[in-house]
Amino acid sequence: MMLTDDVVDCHVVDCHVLVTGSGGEGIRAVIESSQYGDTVLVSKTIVGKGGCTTIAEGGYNAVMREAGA
Amino acid sequence: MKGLTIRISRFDPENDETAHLETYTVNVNDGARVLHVLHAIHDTLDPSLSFRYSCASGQCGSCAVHVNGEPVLACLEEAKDGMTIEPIHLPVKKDLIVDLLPTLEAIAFLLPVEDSVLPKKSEIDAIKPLKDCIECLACVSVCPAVDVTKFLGPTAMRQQMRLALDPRDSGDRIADAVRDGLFTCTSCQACWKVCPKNIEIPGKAIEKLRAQANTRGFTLPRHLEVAALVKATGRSVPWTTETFLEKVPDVIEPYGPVKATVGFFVGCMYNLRQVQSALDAMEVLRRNGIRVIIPKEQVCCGSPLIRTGQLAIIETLKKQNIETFQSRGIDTVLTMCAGCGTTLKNDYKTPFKVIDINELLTQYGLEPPARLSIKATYHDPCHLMRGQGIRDQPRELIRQVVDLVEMPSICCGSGGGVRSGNPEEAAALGSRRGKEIKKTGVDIVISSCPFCEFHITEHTDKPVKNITTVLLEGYKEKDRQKGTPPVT
Repeated sequence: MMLTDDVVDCHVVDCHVLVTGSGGEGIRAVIESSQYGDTVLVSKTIVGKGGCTTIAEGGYNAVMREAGA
Repeated sequence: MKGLTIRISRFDPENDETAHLETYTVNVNDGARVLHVLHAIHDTLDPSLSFRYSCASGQCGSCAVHVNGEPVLACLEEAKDGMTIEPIHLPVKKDLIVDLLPTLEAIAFLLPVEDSVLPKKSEIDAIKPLKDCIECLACVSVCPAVDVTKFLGPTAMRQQMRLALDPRDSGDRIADAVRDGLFTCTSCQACWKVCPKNIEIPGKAIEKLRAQANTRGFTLPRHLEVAALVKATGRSVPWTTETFLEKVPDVIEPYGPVKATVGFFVGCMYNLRQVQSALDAMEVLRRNGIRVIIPKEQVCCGSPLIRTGQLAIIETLKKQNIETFQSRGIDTVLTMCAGCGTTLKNDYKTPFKVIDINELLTQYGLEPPARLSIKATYHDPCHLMRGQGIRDQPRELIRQVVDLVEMPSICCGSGGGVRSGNPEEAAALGSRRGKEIKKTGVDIVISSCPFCEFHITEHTDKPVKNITTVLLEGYKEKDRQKGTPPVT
């Protein structure tokens, strides 16, 4: 996985999976899907800086059972 | 809704050689933040405007920008008509987006120890003032040392100290901090004053790291020499000529009725190196009804040692200074050295009030001097403006005697032991100050700190004068106009 901080105006990138958001959920999705195909993650800020995960004060929502997915 | 006209720095690396300012007028709700303005422009006027943000609530540190030259978080700062929005001082990628990654990646990570234990309550309490950083890099944007050295920046030092306090970390944080520029910090306090989380990086991280560096033998040789001099003589400057304290009586009475009585703390520089400035200050005080008591047993305030992490004799110096003034029943101690003033106010617990001479003269009202037909600029001493919050008072005094031309308030490079320990850095910052002075086209430079005055003199062809010297020149001109013989 390659992280860039490039500002892209008009640039076409082909991928199998597009993930939006670089919080915990987005990052986890990218890690998983990148094992199966080309994956692009779009984030409005630097990965690891944005999203709710980095500013959550101990509370996380997560899917624990398949029925909840 | 209200209409705001603002200017934004635009830069497209594919089409522009340099950044330029563009003016926009948009409607936003009352109480709108800078970020709302950026959204409004992006959504209604120009979708090519680029800016970074994420949480929009002051927690992620993505959206730092300069508003009217000062770094702020766009999401928290209220938008004002006429403001100018620019990127923070890091390499610009496009418009307001800067390259944060190299600086963020240089902030140390915790290196776990084997069999780590949880920190104790006391350790958590010690870490607390350093842990709230959101890595917005506002501190890096204003750091003078970052501009002229390879210093990794204030928040990198904050993180080294935060990790040094953590029993779960195995890194050699002191050695790493020294390697990354610990001794390049000028103690200018700019990082702390712009931090949206109010993290006191100079006092809580840099000075603490320097103190630990001292116990490990990392203190710079020149700083060790200064400490040895203070230990041997009680002064941080060598004796060369008759000192201020040797020249003056124990009490200086004013010419007219006594408005106030103060004890005077002269400081090493005005006592030994710029004696005439202190004598000029006494004359100004005499004309303004201030009775001055000058205890001769006073010694160095300890600032040069505290800033460089050499704490061995600090308590002895503090005790002697406090007892010297307290034993004479003095309830207000006057300082004219910005460094001594900030030290007595912030590093001491004094049983008396400490007041800077600019505060005192504005508080009691200044006898109007004659106007001198010269233009002057004023250099804000870091330890006066940021250390003591004194910005308006010197300007109020200066405007009574000369025309004042403003220049940006930036560090001259003389503080924090940098002039003695890192002379090349001090010269680079001094030279930058010299260029700003040149731009103003003034006849003289005024300041209110012996370190700044001494250092800036080497980097400008204009005379650099203490504020009280200029006031005294105004009084002498007044006497000349009235035909009053000068007081001897």
